[in-house]
Amino acid sequence: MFDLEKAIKEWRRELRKNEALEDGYVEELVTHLRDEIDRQLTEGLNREEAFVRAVEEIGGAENIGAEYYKTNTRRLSGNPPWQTRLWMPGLVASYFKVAFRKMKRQKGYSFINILGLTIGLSCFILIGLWVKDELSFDRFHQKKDRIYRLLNRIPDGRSFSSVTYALGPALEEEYFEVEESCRVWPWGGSLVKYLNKSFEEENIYLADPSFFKIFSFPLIKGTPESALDDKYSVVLTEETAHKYFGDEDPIGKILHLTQYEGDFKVTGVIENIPLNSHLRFDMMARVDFLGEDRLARWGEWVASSYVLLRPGVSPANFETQIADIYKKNIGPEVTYVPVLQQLTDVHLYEFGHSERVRKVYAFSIIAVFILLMACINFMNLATAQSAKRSQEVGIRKVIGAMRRQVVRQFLGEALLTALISLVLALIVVESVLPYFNQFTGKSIVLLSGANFAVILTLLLMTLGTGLFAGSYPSIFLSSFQPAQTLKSRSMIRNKGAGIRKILIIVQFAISVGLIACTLVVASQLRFIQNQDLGLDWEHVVILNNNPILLPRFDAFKSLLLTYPGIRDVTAAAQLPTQVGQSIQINWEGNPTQDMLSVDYTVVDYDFFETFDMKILQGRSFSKEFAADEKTACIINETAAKQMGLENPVGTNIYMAHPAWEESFRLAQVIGVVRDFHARSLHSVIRPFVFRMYKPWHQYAFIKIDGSRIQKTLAQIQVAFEKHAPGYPFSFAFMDDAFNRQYTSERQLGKLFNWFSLLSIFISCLGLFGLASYITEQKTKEIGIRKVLGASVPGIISLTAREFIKWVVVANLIAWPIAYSVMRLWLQEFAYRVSIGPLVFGMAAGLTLLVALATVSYHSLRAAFANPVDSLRYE
Amino acid sequence: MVSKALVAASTKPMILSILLSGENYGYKIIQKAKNLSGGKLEWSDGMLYPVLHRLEKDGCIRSEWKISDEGRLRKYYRLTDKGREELEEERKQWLSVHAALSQLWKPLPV
Repeated sequence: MFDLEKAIKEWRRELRKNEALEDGYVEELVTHLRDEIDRQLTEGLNREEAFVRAVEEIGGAENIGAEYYKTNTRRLSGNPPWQTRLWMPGLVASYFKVAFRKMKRQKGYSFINILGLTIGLSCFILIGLWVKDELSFDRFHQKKDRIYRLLNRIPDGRSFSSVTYALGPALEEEYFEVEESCRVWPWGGSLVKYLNKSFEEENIYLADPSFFKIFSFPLIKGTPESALDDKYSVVLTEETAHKYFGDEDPIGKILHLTQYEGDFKVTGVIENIPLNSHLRFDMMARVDFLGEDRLARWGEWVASSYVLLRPGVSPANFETQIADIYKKNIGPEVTYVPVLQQLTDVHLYEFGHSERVRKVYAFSIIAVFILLMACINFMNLATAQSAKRSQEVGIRKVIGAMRRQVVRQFLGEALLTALISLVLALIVVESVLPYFNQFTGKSIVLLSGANFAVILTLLLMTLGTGLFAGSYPSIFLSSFQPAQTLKSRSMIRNKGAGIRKILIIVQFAISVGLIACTLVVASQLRFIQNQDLGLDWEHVVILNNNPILLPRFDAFKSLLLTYPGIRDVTAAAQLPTQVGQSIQINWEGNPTQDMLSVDYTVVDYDFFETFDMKILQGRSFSKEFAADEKTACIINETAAKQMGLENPVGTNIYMAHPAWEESFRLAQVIGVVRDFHARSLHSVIRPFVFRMYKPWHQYAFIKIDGSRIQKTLAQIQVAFEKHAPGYPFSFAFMDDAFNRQYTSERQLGKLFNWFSLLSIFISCLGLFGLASYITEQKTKEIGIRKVLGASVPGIISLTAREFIKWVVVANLIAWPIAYSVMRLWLQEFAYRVSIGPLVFGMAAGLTLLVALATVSYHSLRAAFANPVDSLRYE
Repeated sequence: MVSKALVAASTKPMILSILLSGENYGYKIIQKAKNLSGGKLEWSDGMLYPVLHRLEKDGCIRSEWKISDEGRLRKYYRLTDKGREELEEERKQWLSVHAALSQLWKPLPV
């Protein structure tokens, strides 16, 4: 039997479950229901049917409640919390409120957190952009996957990019696998004239016409087929073309290159070369211009060559096929083997070694470290402060929060901090970027156009950082039992202290490691600076030689020597720092008949005097001996040693230089010069031979008096303009040229300085926060100790002792790691410092000092505080 | 059937107009509205109450719990002065809409 009253009661109870329906509303609805039932009953329905109908008429409690809620609420959305949208779950607003309140109330800690994360993210973004740029080199070529550079690998595993002229064309002719080949030679400079305009061009390349078919340098004017179609054709970059022709059409115009006494027709204009291309030129002419016979030679190792393999060809297989090509064409004595280097590796593995790519790795690791340290700070401070928030967690849990919700809340707070830091970091990066670009020689843009990928990466990174930094605190905080936290605070005070200790130690270990590395890099750089190089190029001015000056060089020299400010004048084919050519020599009395590979260059009289190089045996080139210009040579100590000669003076040697006449290839040793570092200290001193051969003199070197540089330079200019009319006067100092060899190391050193400074700063931030927290906790303990008669130093040592312990442990962990990393780096240098204990001592001292300074601020404040204040409320 | 949007728009003037003839309670208000429209106005009965609540909050009507003649507890609603003003305003608006539409529809054969 249907009980109407019971059904109505039931219905009323259902309505009451709805949060928005207050008692009065429910009653009103109940009377409505009764009226409706009465009406239905008069229409002849039975009670049950009437009830069901009436309930239907009134409609769902859910919607009625929501309508009431809308009328009563001040919420903007008007939606009751039990009908929330997915994107804005219930308590999010409250979480935000609490998070901002926390930040406002604890300005110090929030500042440390945000500052640390901002620095961390800034470093990370900067290094990330740099790495991205490094990795982007040469990737704009459409056929990049099939383009390879040819290298020569020598038996000890090193590789060189100067292969012979003949190799590329031979491969293309003999092997079906090669679709195109191209020789590219950075050829040098020349004065270039067009009508009445003339400029000194420094960066002229020579290449085969296939260049534009292999590489994707878009032509603005001309086609890949028509560019370089004539032996005397030249292709310009947009910028160079504009320099000569302005808005005129450059195609078909004639440029005169004075260095090579030829007229070149412009056959193409390419877009300016992007900065992330390892091939950089202003003008490109045909390599055939060097002469057919020279190009067909197997014995001249100067040009780099590129090949375009056919689709599907495996470079490894091809390498094994061509491995004996030198032996076939030159002779069985050749130890070089040609190998292929992927185009996109050329920049990162410059000259066949991995210096650059290791730098990329090193900085990526540093970036991760710095960000990690900032995250550790966040974790530490958040867990340390957990005592203060344990009550909040307790209340939330008592009211019904699930652990999941608490975790979400604290993760959200971490994300919020990370997001604020990201915004600040972007501002920092944007304002630092110009200096960073200047420093690294790049033109990186943070947000170029709508760089969606970068924005997405940044957001993902921030998300990752926030989640990582928030992971431990949120799990830790959410684990609190409400009964305990609400009863007493002391129970959780020391919870998590172990993890905090470990995190601090990790942080300090990273700092110590970076400091140690910085010190090693700095001492190696100092070593390079102070190394006795065996030659002195202070106050040596370099001038570019030119075809007009060359035949009149002696007259130019005598004019210069009349000036009091000029000590010596000489000329040579290369800068001593850039000597790169090597040649095989044989000599009389050679016991094995194996040829020796030596570096060589050609110089003028007074070369050794100008560079203050010591002749150990024999004599230097001299005008008193007329034969010197034809037959004399001077070797260095290493050459003498490797040739096995105690008294090499008078020995005849044979230099198989293809460009020299047979009669000139024979020379007699007239002197031995002390070993000198011609190249950077990365490489071992090689055997070296000096000859005299005037036609090749590319540079003039003038040693001047350091006390009147300006005046002397003006005099040199007058003399130069007299003897080389029409050539612009430009000069450089030799020490700059020398230092340029170490730009990479110098950059590394400076960057290391900065990053280790930042890392120390970040770890100190964290330490500062923790120290302040711990002393705050110990206020009462310190107060009681003072009352009982503890001294100020005693109290300071009490707090400091713990921190010192951590720093010591961190040092012990970091030393072996830093040692092995630095040993690896130093192996790059043939001449290097040893890593002494001093470096580690200094790193330890420095970190201890900084840690103590940071901690003692708080300890002192605590120690000098009046115990009455701290104990008053007990 | 009258569309939902139009029902929602007409609820306020409808209630106020019904109350013009004297105080009444929710159930009766709905019955009247339904009868007047010949069943063409479809309301979910329960949804009336939040609307009454809102009108009361806005000061257009006032409510009072009373025991009815049948001995049942009922909440009676009465029009306030403000409610009258609001109704006048609503009336003007509805009439102007009505006038405009009637003019447009005049030529149509009925």
